[in-house]
Amino acid sequence: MLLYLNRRWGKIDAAARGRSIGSRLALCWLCMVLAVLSAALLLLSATGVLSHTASQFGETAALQQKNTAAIFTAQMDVLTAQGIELSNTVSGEVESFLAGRGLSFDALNDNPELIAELEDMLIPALKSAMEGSTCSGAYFCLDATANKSLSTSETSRAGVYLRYSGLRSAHPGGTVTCFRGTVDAARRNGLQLHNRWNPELNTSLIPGYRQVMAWDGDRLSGGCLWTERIPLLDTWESVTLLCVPVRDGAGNVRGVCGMELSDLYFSLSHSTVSDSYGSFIMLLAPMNGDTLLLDKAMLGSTEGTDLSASGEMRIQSGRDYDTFTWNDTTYLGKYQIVPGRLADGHPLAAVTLVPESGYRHQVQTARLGWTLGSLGFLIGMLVLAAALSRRFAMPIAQGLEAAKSCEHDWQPTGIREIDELTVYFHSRLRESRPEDALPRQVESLVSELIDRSKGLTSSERIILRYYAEGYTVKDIPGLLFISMGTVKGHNSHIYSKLGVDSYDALKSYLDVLRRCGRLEELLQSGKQRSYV
Amino acid sequence: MKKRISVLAAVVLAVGFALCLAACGETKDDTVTVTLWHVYGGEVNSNMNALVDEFNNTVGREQGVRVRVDSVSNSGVIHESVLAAAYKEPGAPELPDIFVSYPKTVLALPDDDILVDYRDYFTAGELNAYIPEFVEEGTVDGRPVILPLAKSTEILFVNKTAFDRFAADTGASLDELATWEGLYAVAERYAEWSGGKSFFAHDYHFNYFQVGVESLGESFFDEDGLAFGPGFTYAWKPYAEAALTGGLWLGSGYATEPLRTGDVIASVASSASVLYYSDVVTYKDNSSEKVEIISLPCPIFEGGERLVMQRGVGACTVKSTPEREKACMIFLKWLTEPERNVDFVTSLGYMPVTKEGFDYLPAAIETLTDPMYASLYEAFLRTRQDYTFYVPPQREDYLSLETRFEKTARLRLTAGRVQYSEQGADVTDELLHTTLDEFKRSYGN
Repeated sequence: MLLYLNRRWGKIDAAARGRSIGSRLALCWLCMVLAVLSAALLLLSATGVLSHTASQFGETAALQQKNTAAIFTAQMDVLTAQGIELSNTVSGEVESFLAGRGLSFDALNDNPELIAELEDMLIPALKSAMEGSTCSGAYFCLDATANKSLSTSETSRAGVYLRYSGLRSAHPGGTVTCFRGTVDAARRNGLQLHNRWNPELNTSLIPGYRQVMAWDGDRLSGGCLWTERIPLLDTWESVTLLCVPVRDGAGNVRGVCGMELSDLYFSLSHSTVSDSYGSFIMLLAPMNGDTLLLDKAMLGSTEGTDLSASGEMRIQSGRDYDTFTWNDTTYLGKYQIVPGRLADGHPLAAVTLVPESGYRHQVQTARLGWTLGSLGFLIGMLVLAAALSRRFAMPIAQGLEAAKSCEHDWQPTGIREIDELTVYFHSRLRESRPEDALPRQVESLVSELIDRSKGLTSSERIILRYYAEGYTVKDIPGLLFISMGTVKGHNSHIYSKLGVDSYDALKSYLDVLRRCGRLEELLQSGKQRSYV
Repeated sequence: MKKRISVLAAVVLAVGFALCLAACGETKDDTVTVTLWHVYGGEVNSNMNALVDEFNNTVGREQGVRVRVDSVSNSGVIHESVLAAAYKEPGAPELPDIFVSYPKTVLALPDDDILVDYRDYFTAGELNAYIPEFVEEGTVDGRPVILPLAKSTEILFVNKTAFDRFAADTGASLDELATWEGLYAVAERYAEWSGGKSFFAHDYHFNYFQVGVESLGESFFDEDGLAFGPGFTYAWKPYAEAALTGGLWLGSGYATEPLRTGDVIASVASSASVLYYSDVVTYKDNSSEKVEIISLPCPIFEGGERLVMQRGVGACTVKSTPEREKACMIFLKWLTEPERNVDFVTSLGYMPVTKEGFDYLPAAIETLTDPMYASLYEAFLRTRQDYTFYVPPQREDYLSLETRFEKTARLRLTAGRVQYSEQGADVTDELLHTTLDEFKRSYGN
């Protein structure tokens, strides 16, 4: 009885110590709220509201553009300075060459030998200027021709144009070929003739030649200009030329000199800049209103794109970046006007752009990252909520089952409110059991049996307890050190006093009493009485 | 309850995936850009560049491949650049995805495993479509690493306008140019007639001796280098005599150069040189003359076998990523499709490389309108009919032997020519021997 009471009080105590149902509900609700938030996050992510790719791209493009403009400006400045130096060298050499022979500049006309001699002397200086510059070629031409009787003499001018053959890297080098110049001068200087060599330059193919020849300013830098990209006659290459006036001692412009940037060299020396948005391409293009004249532009490496130097590219300015459309393909990036005078008067723009597909890919990647993260979080929250709900609901179900079972089989659920409810329910059950616990016939039978047991002797009660504890008739002699005959005698009295007719019937009654929790009343009814 | 949870989970996942797909939207459509170093056109605009543009705008655009020509040069420059890149020399460029070369370049690589074995991308049937000898020529150490694109041979080009003037005065005939003995004799007469101008330029002196000696039934090479047998001495005599008397051009560079400046009026060069020959000769006073350039089969030695050098680089693909390699194969297969290959080669003076391509060749030749090309293909067909093609051996020292030969022969004969000018024709026989001895001594082995 004491043991039973201890167990029961222990369970009541455990019920009181269990976690509150309120805290579990709060945790579950928290998970649900987070799940709702993550669902909202998922929606926002999928629609791209959260990834600020446009502004981020704008910042990146602006940075790249700043670099591009700085690189182009520096390259043009350096080449212009070197072109001016070349002009001074050529001017000085021509002056001293003619003065040494007591000749005027016009003496060069119709005198191929004299021209060859002059070119022979100037080639080393031209070669040095070329090798000391970041360019693909260098040239000078003088306002004289070897044969004025030719129909082409108006546009044919003596001069030397050297080019690198087989450029393959941004560092100019390799074989120097003579594209224009006399054969004798080239051979004396160990130069190979270009496959499309000619002895003189065709000035009609150099835009701006007439402008430079007509220039009458003071400072040479004021007379410098760049040509648009022009095809190099009979070759597969296109070039842009720096044109610097060559003056004589009296300040008359006697020719033009400068450096060449071939499209191949330009693309090799301005490779794409890889970024998460794709490969940024650099262009140097004349601008006409909101249009880039790509057919006259120099393109850096266009690796990974279809962009080529043809047609026009329309610009649409935007808040974060500008949009460029060329041949139904869209590029995104930035542009700015850089210093540099073009022969045709168009402003020159440094442009940095990336194919729109690269940008879109980055946008999708960012959006996908957010979406997947949100989805993962949502699923996690839902799983957690489900797990908490399960942990919360299961004890309740168990508690209900426990409430239905006998009190001594009940185990605390860990939820304080449920356990307290169960304890309360059991206590009420116990209080109400005499009237309500058993059907009336069974209650009557049980009560009658308990009442009859009051007539048992102490020896018969001991034997009855053994039977209740599961011992059989054969065990009793050994337990009580009495004969089987004596046991049978006691049994006979027990049966008659309790009103049962066999051992099996007695066991059945004992089982019913045990199930009803009233076995002890039967076994102790005599004692209670003696105590009283 | 469990069923409800499962339904809810399925709905969440479905919505999630739908949103993910929406977030993915369009996938990135990157174009694979492959770089190409080729020789077709050199510094001149050629049909190869037009073909590359056509590929980029059609098949390339559809399949996300873009070919970028980074260099158009000659095989010697590409050889040097490839080796510099392969050996990672300071300042060397990156290797391109495709470069054209002779086996000598592959043999000189530090590791030929850097090249794609075409069997990895071509089926046996696809490789069988090419002329077997051409594939064999590009097989190094059992691996087909050089894909034939176009093949050429050596042809005799003559400025017929200038030759006719000379012939009218001297009675010289084009028939005399059928043999080396005849050609050098004409060269000597031309030098005398023109006041010391050269008649003839060799693109490769080395090839003249190599094919000539082999055609005389001797081996040009031995284990250490060159054999210098009696055949070599036989080939040296008329060649050196023409050089000493001024009939043979000894300047460096390609034979097209002196022909364009009127310094010579005949040359033996690759049939592919036709692209570089101009029908205009420009003289020192800046005047120019339109001339007729005709082609004739390469001369042979009297009594020698009709042998002629087979030339023409092939395409090597550098190993990279499967995507880039596949992109290269798309381009190369496109370029060597029979009909396109014939269009390509006939615009550049080459032979096609596939069996089927030769079926299209006669019809393609009939459409040629440029008389210089028409003459070339006439000579080409006669060469193919009458000659046996000679393929140089695959020797690691081939390029070194060739380069040394070109330089030494020119130097020795230039020195001999100075002596000849100073001492006159009486010392001709002596100079023939001394120049040969000095050549052998300078050349070494």
